[in-house]
Amino acid sequence: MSTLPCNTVNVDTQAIAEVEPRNIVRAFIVLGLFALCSLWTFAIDQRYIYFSAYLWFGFIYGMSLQYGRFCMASAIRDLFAVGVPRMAVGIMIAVVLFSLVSAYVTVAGKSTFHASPIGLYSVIGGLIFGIGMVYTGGCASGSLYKTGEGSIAALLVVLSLSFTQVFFVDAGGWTNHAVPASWTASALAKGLPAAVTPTDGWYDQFLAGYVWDLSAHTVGDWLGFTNPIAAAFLGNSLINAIIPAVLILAAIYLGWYRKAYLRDLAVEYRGISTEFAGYWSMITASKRTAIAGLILGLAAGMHMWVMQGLQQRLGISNAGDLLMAMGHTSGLSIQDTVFDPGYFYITTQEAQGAAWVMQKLGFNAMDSIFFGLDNGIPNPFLNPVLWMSVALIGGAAVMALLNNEFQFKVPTLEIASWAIFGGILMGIGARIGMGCNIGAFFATVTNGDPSGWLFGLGMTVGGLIGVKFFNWWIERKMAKEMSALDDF
Amino acid sequence: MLFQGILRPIGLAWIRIHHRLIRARPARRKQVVLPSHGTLWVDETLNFVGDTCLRTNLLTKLVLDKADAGMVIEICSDNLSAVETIPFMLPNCNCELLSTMHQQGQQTIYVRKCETRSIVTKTQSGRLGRQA
Repeated sequence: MSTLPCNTVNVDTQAIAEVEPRNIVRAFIVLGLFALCSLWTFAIDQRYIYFSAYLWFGFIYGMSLQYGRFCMASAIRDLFAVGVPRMAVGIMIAVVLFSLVSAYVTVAGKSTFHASPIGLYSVIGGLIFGIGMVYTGGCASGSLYKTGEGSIAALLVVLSLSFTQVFFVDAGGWTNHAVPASWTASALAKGLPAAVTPTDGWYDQFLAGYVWDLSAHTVGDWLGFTNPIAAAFLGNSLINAIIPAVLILAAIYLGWYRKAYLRDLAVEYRGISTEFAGYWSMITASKRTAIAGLILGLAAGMHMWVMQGLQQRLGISNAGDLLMAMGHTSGLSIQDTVFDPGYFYITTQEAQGAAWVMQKLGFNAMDSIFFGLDNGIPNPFLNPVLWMSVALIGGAAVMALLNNEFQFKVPTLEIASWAIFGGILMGIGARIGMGCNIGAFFATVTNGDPSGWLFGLGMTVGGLIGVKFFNWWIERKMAKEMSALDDF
Repeated sequence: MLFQGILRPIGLAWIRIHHRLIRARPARRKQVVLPSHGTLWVDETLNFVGDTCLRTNLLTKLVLDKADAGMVIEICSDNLSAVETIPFMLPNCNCELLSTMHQQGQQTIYVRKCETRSIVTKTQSGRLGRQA
């Protein structure tokens, strides 16, 4: 290699990157910290196992998301911006598998899922969220796993969307002018406690005066299946998740994959069998993403099973009951509850964490329906769902370390600005849409709730708008730079 | 007054001189040794270290679409999602992947624009055929 010209880079010797021993040690330290946390809290009180269950599922989610680079923003962006369908395909695989496991869990009576009201708000929330996630470069779950990879920009997204939610749900005063009179009347008629000021603030009246008046159904219920197996497997899984997923995959195949597949086809075209071979080739094109989708789908279904099993074993219906029994009453909602979905969720627990910080700084967020009546603001150390988010970051960090992919990355001012601005949009979109790409889309469509597809539709259109804008922005910037150079 | 009268003209003059110096500098091509491809000249280097995946993928696509046949392009990025998307973009940009290298916290991808493009045509029987 000494005969190479002076400006030659010898990349032969660096082609294979072995895992550095120090990264293995670091990965085991992170894993050990979570194990220690589980064991220590279990030794204090065995009921902390409920918290640990969230923690370890979060850890599995983090590892899977990082391994498959699983990101809804990436799915929409890659498809519309550069014509690559691999991530969208991976997500559809996860949807199909999660829906089958969910159906089984539902039939077994272990489901913790509650359908969301069906309405236009899901589309609007998804739209705002979709635009935001393209600007930030990651969805809610994607930003968490990228934080685990050492990305400071992703951490800014998480912080931005968390604090935005707090300000958005608690904003009163001038926001009342944007509330229709019918929402105010409906919110008043519900006789809610005065402590949550139900007629002060746009979001309170949006919830109590609009969302709560909408009906919520799973497809199984909607179609009137009396047999629980038919309702779960035919209604919720097949009709609401598998058929739409297969159709979406077919649309992706026809729109983005088929042309290149047929162009590079080495054998003779044999009609439908070639088309099916192409369809299957698209599904298996990125094994890494497909495997991650498979693990995520199975883990998300198992998560519901485990949480419901623990609730039955501990004799509780919400983690608030557990906290009360353990003597931790601070931060509970008026109904003595805390946010405890029992399945994969991202944004609400992050909002709780941000609200807890704001409470410490003197900001009162408990006078809102979102926190005061529903979710509470528990201490982050006693918030089981927030344990899941922290563990998700940890799981992603472990996987990144084991693949030599962990690296602290400080963003430029431009990227940091996009992260914060996009995070603000994601926070607003998540609250209007009643969740993020996980809570309002992934967990809902797979449990037979059609509102998830409405959120998904909005998120896709929002993503498309975001991509178009970004494309225009980049081309304009490049054209400006070129013309500036030509002027000199 | 000070800014408008003195500092701004000096600043503008410096920017112009700087740009002229950059443009006057001859383009530096570099050679790389790639496994199973041997020694190659890199015609264009795109450095996206620190960039988001969207910006990385969009700009890569713009450059690959406009590249001349036979050009070798080096793409540097530390964004794993973007790096893994690029090989899937290549067939649509009529490019081939030469190699992907993991180097000091970043990935470097080497891509070559293909000389000819296969075109999908419909034969008389209606079946899709392949033509160089």
